[in-house]
Amino acid sequence: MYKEKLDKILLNVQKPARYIGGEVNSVSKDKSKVDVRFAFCFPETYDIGMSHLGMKILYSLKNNVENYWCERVFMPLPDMAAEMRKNDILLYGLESLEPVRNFDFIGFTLQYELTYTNILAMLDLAGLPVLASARKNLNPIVVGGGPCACNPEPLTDFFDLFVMGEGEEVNLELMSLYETCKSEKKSKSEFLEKAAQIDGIYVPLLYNVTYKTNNTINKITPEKTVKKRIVKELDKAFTPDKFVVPFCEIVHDRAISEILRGCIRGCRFCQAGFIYRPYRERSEDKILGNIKSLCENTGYDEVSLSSLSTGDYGKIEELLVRLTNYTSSKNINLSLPSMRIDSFNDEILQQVKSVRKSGLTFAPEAGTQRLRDIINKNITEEDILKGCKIAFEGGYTSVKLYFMLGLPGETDDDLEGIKHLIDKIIDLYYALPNRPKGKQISVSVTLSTFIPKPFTPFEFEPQLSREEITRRRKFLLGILKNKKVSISWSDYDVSVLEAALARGDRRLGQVIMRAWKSGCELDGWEEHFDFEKWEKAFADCGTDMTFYANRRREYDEIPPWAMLDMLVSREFLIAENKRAVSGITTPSCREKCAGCGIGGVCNE
Amino acid sequence: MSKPMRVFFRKTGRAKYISHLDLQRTMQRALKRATLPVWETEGFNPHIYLTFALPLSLGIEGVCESFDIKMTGEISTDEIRAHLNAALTEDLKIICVAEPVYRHTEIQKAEYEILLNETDKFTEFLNQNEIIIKKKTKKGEIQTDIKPLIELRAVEGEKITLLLPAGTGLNVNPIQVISAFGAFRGAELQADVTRTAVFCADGKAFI
Repeated sequence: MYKEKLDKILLNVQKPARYIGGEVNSVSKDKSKVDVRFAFCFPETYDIGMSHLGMKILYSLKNNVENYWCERVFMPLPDMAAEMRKNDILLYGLESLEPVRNFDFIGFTLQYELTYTNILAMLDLAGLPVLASARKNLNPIVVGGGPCACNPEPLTDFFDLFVMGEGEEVNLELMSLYETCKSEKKSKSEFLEKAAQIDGIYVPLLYNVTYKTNNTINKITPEKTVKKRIVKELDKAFTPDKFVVPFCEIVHDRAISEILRGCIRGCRFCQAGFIYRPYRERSEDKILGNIKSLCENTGYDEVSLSSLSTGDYGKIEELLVRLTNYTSSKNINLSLPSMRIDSFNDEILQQVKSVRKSGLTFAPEAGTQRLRDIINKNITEEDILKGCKIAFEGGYTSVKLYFMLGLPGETDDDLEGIKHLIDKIIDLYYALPNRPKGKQISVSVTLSTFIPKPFTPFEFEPQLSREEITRRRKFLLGILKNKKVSISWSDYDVSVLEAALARGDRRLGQVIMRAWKSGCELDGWEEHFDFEKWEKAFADCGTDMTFYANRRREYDEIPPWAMLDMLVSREFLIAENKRAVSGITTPSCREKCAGCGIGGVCNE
Repeated sequence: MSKPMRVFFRKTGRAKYISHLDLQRTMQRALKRATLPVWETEGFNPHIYLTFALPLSLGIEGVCESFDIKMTGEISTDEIRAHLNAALTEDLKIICVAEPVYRHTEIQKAEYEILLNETDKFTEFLNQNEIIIKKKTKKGEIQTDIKPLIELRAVEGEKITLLLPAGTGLNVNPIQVISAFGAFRGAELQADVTRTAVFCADGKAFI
């Protein structure tokens, strides 16, 4: 246990409370009575990782089993990492303060491509070889899961296995298998072979990939696919009734309750919209009960609803009335992220306002109806203006709007469309007789760059070149000159790397390794991101980002993730891509089943 | 009708890394979890009202820390303690709850126990003509002589007990004394500091 060693260094680092654990609701166990120890690693800092709901679910799920102990591990910032190396402190679990290298599992949640080098950094800080092939013992088994695991190929060199889909059931099955193998003194390869028999477990070692001379994939063997796991009924899925309450401030320091999973919309650029299918709702009673116990057990005065699109919840108005009855009586603030502008109405606004006024964010994504049809963002200009009108009449004077640059089929007319839309919103504000008195409107616009992702209808599409994205951004900035509008945009360097890693293949393992060895870490942080080192790492491995990011992929090209089955069929994705090209929209699952292939389990 | 209560607690072990601001939030949440009838402010953003007697610097343990709350309902001091303890962690524990006697502004001194890996020549250090420390203020760095402010209570082996000015007026942080001693010795020192008592102007313990 590192308590004494940590006492010597913690006052030399920023915000030491995040490195010492011991928070309310953190779980301590007698290790002599524990058979399987799991280090749940979030490859980002405590402040970010502790805000994540998935981690809270799996943490409680595992710790509810008496002889399993799950601890939390985060990426230390450079000041802490340097102190750890200087004082021979290996990466440790926040509960026991013991090195994770001796644990049975080291699990990483893969939320974002730009955290990949952090995984290598954390394995290294743990005193473990980063390459899976160099870790010969049964323990620790290094596992990955989460949204980026739907194409884990760039990470296969470092991981022993990946969990596909929702982890609630499969995690315990995996740990139980391990428990048996450990007691029977099985080897790592024996364990991995058995693990591959569990539905939803992908063991990359058991697959072989060959390439064509043009560098695309020739063949993946065996042909057997791994299907993602899902929880059929959300009401029956494990839900934690308490969260670890951090001492120090984190990004989202509040209770979170998941109200639905999956999305009925099918926006063609949105990976979450496809990989989290089918659409399932949690019942009002369960949500209310969950929120009550979370607030009682944490003392939080803020609760947020988690979903991909809150307004799609069948009985959203009834739900909000019930929730606000409880939250306002307890002085708890309720926040509603992920509201689609077309599901925004007076009643919802009143519910949100009754506790505290927070900002409003809408995502039209594109400036014209033509382009919104291509991406299947089924909202109209009328919806957008109506949503803004309700907000302004309700006292809001600022709106935040998200747009994407470089969407398939985008032309300069669509960029002008963004300007016209913003002009209309501003005109609408000043035309309202009952607008907030004496106040200016402020519109903040965030421009992101389109990133094609696996398992979406746009997985075939190229990302535009740096030159073209830059030209389009400059064009837009040139026509968007207005004091009431503030604009921010994402860095192309970040977007192109994200695009390359998202659709990358196994050969990117050595690129990631090189990038990390040359000093890349915390790539998601502007002050640490070093694009030149990444470019060099790609070049040193005889490849470049454009092959992965900026190339159109034919329908018959084998994608690196072909051995994985996210339940949405490839035929459907191709059909949707073709509909996009023709500008034909696909109605939401609630209006009409689009035949995505998920079948049976979907009740929409 | 609300009745003021003073809650005495200890902040030890892992909890010494909780900053003062974070501690305030931690206690507010603990009070919420304990579902005690505590008065909340009635403004636009209602929150539990609590005031700490004397903030404790990050990294220092305390065994006689306190904050004040206002109770809005009948509840015994023992019950307050028991409910709060159930809502807190091992390293943050309520010692007792009582009606306040002194006001915060009456605090004048605090006693610290310092476990040092090197106590040799500590008396020589204190017997210097002056002990200058640098303090960062809004106007820049200023130098102060803290020698007349340090009262040595005892040196027993590795343990030094000091009495230092504390409260709304003058304050000396024991960490500053240790780093000055470290500079005097030309060595990097390792110290475990605990605030063991808080005193008022009349020399009596702050209760």
